[in-house]
Amino acid sequence: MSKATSKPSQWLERLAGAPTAALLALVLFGIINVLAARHYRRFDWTRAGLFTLSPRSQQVARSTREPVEIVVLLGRAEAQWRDAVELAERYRALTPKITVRTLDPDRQREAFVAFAQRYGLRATRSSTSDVAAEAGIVIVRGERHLEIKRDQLAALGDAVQNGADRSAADRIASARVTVERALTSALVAIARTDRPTLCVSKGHDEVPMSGTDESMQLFVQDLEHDNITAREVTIRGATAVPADCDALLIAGPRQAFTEGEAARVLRYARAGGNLLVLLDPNFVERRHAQTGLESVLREAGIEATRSVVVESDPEHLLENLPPMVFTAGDFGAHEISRNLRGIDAQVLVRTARALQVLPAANSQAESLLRTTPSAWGETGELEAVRDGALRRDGADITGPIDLALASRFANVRPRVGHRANGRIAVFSFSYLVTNEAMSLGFRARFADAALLQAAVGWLLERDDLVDVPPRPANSSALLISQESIKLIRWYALGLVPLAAILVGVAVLRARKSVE
Amino acid sequence: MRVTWAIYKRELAAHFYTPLAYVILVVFLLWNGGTFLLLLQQFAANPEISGTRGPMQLLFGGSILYFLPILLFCPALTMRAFAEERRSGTFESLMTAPVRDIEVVLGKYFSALTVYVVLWAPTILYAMVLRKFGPIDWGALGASYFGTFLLGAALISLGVLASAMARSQVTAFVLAFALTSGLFLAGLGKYVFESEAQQAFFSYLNQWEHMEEFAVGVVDSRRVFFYVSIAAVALFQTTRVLQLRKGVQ
Repeated sequence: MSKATSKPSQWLERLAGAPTAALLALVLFGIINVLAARHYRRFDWTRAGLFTLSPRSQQVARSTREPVEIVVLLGRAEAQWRDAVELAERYRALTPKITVRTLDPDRQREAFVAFAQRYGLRATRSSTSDVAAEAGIVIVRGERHLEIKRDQLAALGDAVQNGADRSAADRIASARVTVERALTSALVAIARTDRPTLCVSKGHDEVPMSGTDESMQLFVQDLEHDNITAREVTIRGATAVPADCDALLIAGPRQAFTEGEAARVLRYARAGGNLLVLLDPNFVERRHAQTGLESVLREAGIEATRSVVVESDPEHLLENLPPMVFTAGDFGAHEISRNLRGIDAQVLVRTARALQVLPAANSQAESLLRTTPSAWGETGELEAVRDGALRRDGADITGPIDLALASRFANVRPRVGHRANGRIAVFSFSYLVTNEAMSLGFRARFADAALLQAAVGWLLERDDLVDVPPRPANSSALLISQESIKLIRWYALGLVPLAAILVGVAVLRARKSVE
Repeated sequence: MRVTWAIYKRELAAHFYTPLAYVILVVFLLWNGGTFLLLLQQFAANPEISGTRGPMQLLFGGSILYFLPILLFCPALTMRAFAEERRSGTFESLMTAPVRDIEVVLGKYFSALTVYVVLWAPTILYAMVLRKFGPIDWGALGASYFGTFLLGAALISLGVLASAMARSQVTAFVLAFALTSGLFLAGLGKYVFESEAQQAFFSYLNQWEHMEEFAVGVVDSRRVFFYVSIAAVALFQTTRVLQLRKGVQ
């Protein structure tokens, strides 16, 4: 026994005793580290899972077939550098097809300028450098490249809210990092050769595509970022919705669709077209009026009632605003909304009408967003809504109220070569698509933009837009005043070192007394 | 193991029964307190600079002010490990005692590492104070301390090796400082060299980058292997040095 065990140990001792032992240890060190560098894992210890890729992003990364390079063009001093590099590294860790390169405009200026010139990147200035590119990240796949602009990586809340300046810390606290979604979208987009088209209906006093503050300009910009073309179409006077529209958006029409126009929309949907409809409460001569699209929605099992939704739960009301403006956070289990469940996200709702699921319809609609049970659908006249003296009565619709529903049209016969399949998402307020709501989407609590983009993703079968929810940027954001810093100074430079001195004195005195 | 434990206790007592340990502790806390305040003031004036990082994340690896005390204090904690034995004449008796070299090395190493942990422990109070002003990401903070521990574990092992090699405490300090700061500076090669392979190599050594990752809550298995393997190799080499010294004697 002892002989058997002593042989290898003797051999080891001799080997260890040799002058080469030190060298062998270093070689072993090198081998261990080379192996560790090739087969590594990155663990995310953050509370909010900031650096954990969603299942969808992991799927996209793993399904990458051609080599793709992610080039991060941010300076190290820029706030988003760490997020961008970290997430890019996480994609790389999933597949050898993805490589990551960082080109710091400050530290690698020559290489940065050469890259920018090669890909024709537009120059700008960043917060830390006089030379920077408008693109924060560039995805390169063969001869193709795709830019992710800096504003796609993260967006801060507005500096001014309700006329009052918001502190910078507050803005940071409410920021959301969208790096992951931007990267996943870009990885999907660069692998796709098609570019779907979302047609935006005009001619019925809808929310305009651009121009005013109440337009949907930011939403359209987001679509462009996501490799989706948005263009206006006129239903009025046309014989049909253009066949090249992969989806049709009708946002807040104030003029009613005629029966013929509604029939054209329905025909489009039955032929496999997809609809994104945002309907506000409509008043004509102080009475609730229809928009003409109600019959189309009924075909998908959705009833848009003549009502205005009123919330009475104080937790969902906003200070100094009427109860028709509130937050809703009861998200349905549908593909569009499931990622927003359980993350404390809320949608800011402004003047919505109650939606209902028609039980006996051919299509079964599913809820995306609901109010609390305390809300109701006010069916009274305009005055009842305007004067604020709202009272729930027997004619009203009881809560919880559906504010958004998704469904599919039955008996769809898609045209040959048409990729769409008769999907419909209905929101009961058009505020969701406006610039203001899109900006809200990046604030900590509000998921307006995320919900809308997920709906677009579902309609166009762009899963990357559906399955990659935004996540809080800074779970450690603190609001510290100069006054507080004085207190902390006393604590950090006075109390803590003093405690160490006292402990030292006590230990040394105790030691002395023992001796 | 019992021998290691006995040496560990003896070394720990030697650390804490001298005023030097408390001088180091107070200076270390003043330094970190000052750094923390500096970062807080910057953060309060301009939160945009932080991105996803709060003041606690910036404290760990957010500036050179984090690395300087570590690079200075790790050699200070280990310089006496063997050099002091040699100066006081107890080295020979230690080497001829019926104990294995590795037990002696581990006892001295873990005692220095414990002092290093004690140096950092009070900084957790900063997080407790900050909790009054907003949420603290304890997971990310845990990763920061874990990274700091790993970094210290590696640098202290180099310090122990230097102490075994040197004849005096001053030489041990200078040698340890040269080793630890050399390792730190080697990582900065990432910002000097441009080729992909060079960048990957120096990035692997770049402690600044490693700590930035730990500070935001990312624990990378490569970093764990890197620091643990440095400690293992340095401690092994220390035992080789002791055996050589025995041979010389």
